[in-house]
Amino acid sequence: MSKQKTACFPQIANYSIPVDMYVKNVLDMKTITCPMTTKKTLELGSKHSPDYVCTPFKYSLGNYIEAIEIGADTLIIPAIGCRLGYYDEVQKTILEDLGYKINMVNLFEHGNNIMGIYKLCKTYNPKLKIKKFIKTLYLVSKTVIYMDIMEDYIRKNIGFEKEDGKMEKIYQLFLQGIKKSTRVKHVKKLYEKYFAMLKEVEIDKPENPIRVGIVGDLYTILEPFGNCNIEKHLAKKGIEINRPMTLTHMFGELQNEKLLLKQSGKYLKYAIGGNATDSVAKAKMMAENNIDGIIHIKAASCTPEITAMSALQNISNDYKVPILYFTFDTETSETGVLTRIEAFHDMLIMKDLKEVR
Amino acid sequence: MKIIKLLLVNIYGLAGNPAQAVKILLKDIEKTIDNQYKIVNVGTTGSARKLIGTMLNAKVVKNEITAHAIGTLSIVPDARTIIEIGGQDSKIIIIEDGIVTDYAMNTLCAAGTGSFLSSQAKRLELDIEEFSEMACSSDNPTKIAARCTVFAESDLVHKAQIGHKKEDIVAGLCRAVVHNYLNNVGKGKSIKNPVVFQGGVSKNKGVVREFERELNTKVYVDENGHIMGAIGVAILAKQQKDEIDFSFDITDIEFETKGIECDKCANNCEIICVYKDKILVDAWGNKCDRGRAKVK
Repeated sequence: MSKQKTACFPQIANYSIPVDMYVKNVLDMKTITCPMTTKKTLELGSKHSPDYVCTPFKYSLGNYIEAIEIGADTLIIPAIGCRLGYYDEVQKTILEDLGYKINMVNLFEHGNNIMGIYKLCKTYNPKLKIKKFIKTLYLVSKTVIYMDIMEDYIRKNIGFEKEDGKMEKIYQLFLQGIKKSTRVKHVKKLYEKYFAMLKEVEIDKPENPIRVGIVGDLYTILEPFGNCNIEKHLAKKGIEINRPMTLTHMFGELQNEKLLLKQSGKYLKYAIGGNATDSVAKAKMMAENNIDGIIHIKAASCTPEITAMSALQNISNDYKVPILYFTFDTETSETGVLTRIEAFHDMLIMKDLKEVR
Repeated sequence: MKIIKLLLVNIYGLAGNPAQAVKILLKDIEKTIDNQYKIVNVGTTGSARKLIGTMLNAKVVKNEITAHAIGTLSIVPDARTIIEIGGQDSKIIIIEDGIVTDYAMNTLCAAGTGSFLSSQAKRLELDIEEFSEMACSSDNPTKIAARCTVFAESDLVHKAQIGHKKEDIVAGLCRAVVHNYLNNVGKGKSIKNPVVFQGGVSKNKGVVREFERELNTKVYVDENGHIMGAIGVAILAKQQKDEIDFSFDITDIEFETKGIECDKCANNCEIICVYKDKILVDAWGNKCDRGRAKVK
């Protein structure tokens, strides 16, 4: 019998938890958590990447190298959507050139429909029963949904906490708890327990707080290290953060291009690739809901999001909602980001005061 | 109604040590006000705002974008667009009914800013004053590609070699700066009258002329355009309700800053610690709690 493989998924917020559940149960591999992304990870990743590739490529390559060094032999990548769809092949070649012997598993190698995913699982785990497959899929999607609901609540309220850090602590406990779960029932129980605790955390939220929406490319909006912790900085200023784009959303609405185009209205005539169509659709939705400001985040050289910017600028003009654009590169200084956020916040406050008067 | 009165306008070279420059500034202020005024509040802005703010116990520590908008509005209350081009950065601020409604700032590249002009001036062996005068004397600016400073330079050499006049090239550079600004920073923004132009480059008459030509409107340049940030932050400090105890003794106190690299993880955050007479008074720069310096 061959040795069980050790798999690793790069750091994207906390989503390695549900991915690990999936890998353990249907691909029948061991999993390890990749070392926390740091500046060193990024340096490693950039060193071995083409210079003009988008930043997520560099981050994940760095993650992979650090994971291989602690014993991973199989790397998981969800190669789908934009250029990301080719990254598994490119990264595999780079890693092999560096002398690493690894497997690269693209979760969507045979397409992103349920049969395609099942086919992939069968290649790695021929003994897999369809019942277990469906059960795991259900467990993973439920876990992601619960995580996203809680994170959404935290984003909207963490800036108004009376005692700093309480929500974060509770959420970490929840994450630790679900790591060991194998059944939806268990995850649901934990979710109910910790969500109730979250709601009990005392907050001091004004009736009409300043609300800021975030759109942009999925990797950079999801991974805090990739966006200089922008959400944390915004929350510190007492801002309610709205971010309709999450992983739940990726497997739901994001697959429905027609719907997204309809939501984008006159601002887009055809889909513009990646999840940029969604950025425009969600920006328009938030502008219609009288959001105070929108922040558009993208990784350097993310082509779909560059296309989205022109449409976003039209939305900004039509709805009179300011949009702040950020491009996160490997050398983006946090100070520069902070200065811009500060000015954006000042602007929203002044606007707010004027409207009240 | 004039809400502020300028007592002392001077530019102090930092020489790599903002704390020392502020001490010199304070001595000058002490001399100027000569016990006729009392300082009740302090505001700081700019890149060293946090450091100097800590030193002077400032109530207002504001980013330069907000400070500039407020400063400009105090002098040109009906301004709708503020164009600002400085040494390395350029921004656009859009104002509606006296409120900032949108702004943008250059990000990845410094082409089309002051340092671009000064490096090209050096190449043409002109000082920046001559440059400004010469640009205004040309009626036929040469077309120069200004997307990138390096390419602009080779384009410039080429244009000189095929026989374009020097003043045309200089005027062409000014035009290139304006185009670059409007295409990058001002992209998609509607520039409305009145337009105020400030920052170091606003002193260059050639660029002002090109802006007026391109936007087809008068561009207002204030003589105090280079200190709008200071004026803005002074206004904000004035609006503060509580007063601080300010004493000029601060010039005798020794301030020391030290950059320490946190070694708790591979992020190696650079933590700046500020010491007042050898006692740690403030620290910042850490990404997480592990790197928090103990402040007593």
